[in-house]
Amino acid sequence: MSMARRSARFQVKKAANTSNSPQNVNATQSDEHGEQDDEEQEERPRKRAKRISAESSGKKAEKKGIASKQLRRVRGKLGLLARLAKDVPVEVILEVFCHLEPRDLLRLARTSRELRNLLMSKTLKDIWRAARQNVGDLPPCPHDLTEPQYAFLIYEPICHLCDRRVESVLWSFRMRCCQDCASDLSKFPQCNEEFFARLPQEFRSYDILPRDLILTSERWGWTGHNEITARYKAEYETLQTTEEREAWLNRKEKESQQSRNHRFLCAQWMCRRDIERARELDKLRQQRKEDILTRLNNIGWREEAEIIMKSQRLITWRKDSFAQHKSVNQPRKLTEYGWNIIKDELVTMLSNHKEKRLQIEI
Amino acid sequence: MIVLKTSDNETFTVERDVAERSVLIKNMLDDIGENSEQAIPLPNVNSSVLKKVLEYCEHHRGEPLPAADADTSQDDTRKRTTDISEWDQKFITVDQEMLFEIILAANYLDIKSLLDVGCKTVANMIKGKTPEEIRKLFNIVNDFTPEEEAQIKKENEWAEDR
Repeated sequence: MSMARRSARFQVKKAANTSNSPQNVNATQSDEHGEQDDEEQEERPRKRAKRISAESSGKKAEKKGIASKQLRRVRGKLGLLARLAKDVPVEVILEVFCHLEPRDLLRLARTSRELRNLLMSKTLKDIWRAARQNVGDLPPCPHDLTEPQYAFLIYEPICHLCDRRVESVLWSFRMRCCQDCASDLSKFPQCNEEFFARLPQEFRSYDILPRDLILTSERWGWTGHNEITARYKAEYETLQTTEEREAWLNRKEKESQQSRNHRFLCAQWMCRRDIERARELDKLRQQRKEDILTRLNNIGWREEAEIIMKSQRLITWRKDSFAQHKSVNQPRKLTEYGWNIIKDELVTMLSNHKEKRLQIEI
Repeated sequence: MIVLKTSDNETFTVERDVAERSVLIKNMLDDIGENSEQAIPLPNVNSSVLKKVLEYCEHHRGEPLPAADADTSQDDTRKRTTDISEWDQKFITVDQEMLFEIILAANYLDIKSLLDVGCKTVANMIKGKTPEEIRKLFNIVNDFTPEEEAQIKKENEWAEDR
């Protein structure tokens, strides 16, 4: 790993040097990140890294002081990540990446050109793998996907055709697809007689074609993928001899089996993750409610909230109207700032309730 | 006792086993010999950062150091969680400027465990955030055009080899 990382660092540096660097754009915000500017400054990271150990004379230290003051002025107290990438060897920033999850790497890779160039470099394969392994039981990356592609498939709940939000994954097709797009028969033909009639005879007897279950209001059933099917057909037809074809079919059948097993593991994993997430959110909501009750206690309104909770506890299967209140029912930690925003609204709600209650009781 | 001299010419007198949490200092001490009373210059660390770093070394003195060549096995076996012990967590709760300086110093002084705490802290800051939130937090300028941004969202192949 050590060797691999070192060589990764070297190549990453190469990549980083040929790329635009956001920090530089950062410092010269007014420029339209012209290439010249970037080229002029691109040597910086390397020089800095070297200088760290070489610098010793007071004069140089003074210079550095001025430089870092300038940096501070431009970037304020933030800009940590950019400065890390710039002022310490790439290993350090890679060390940070190693502690993330693929979802975070994906998002980092969308923040700026430089981070994208760094993260999408094949030399960072090991980092992506390490990030994936941080997610305990996530099944391994299938051989036909790159790590970022796999992360995208798993973590990004959007339709690959139209960007609409969609939770489920068509694992065999390596994509997510919304109901509308999945209804397109020209892309996703039904696996029926007509479908197989256009394909080589052997495609029936060997279970090789990727297919998936599409369940929409329009259709229900096993579906093929036109593009993938056409590619398979073309691949098969270029093979000349029977032996070659047989070997290809056997290989594809094996791949297909592996893909199905993998898909099963992934579906299980996503299910577990969703349950875990729901639990987490629930815990957060519960904690928020408790915190709000504590705060209400301090201003003398806890009792009314408890009356609401108590009176509605047995009547309905839903949460009581206090727990359901939009300021309470949020999976977010209560902050001082947040409390000040919701305080008046809650007190109004509680005092209205008290007023009504007293009227009825009288 | 060992004397360390910072970039702003302050001197710190510390016990040898505290200072030797730093592999850099340990190697220097090995080179200059046991009884030298010479101050060890640390031109890349200023006094406020060194004070902080020494606080860490003091707290963790006596704990086993990772072997110098343990990099390979460590990478495989070390659990890459972002858990940080309670004391370390409190220790590293500093502003970004100081966090940056600590990471820089830990890297320079070669204090693996401190570098680790620093990196994990940065990782924890990133975790679960959207690209926009990450940009805001770290002051990264978005240099993608809106069209590019929409496009790269779906492009997840490795970049061409350069």
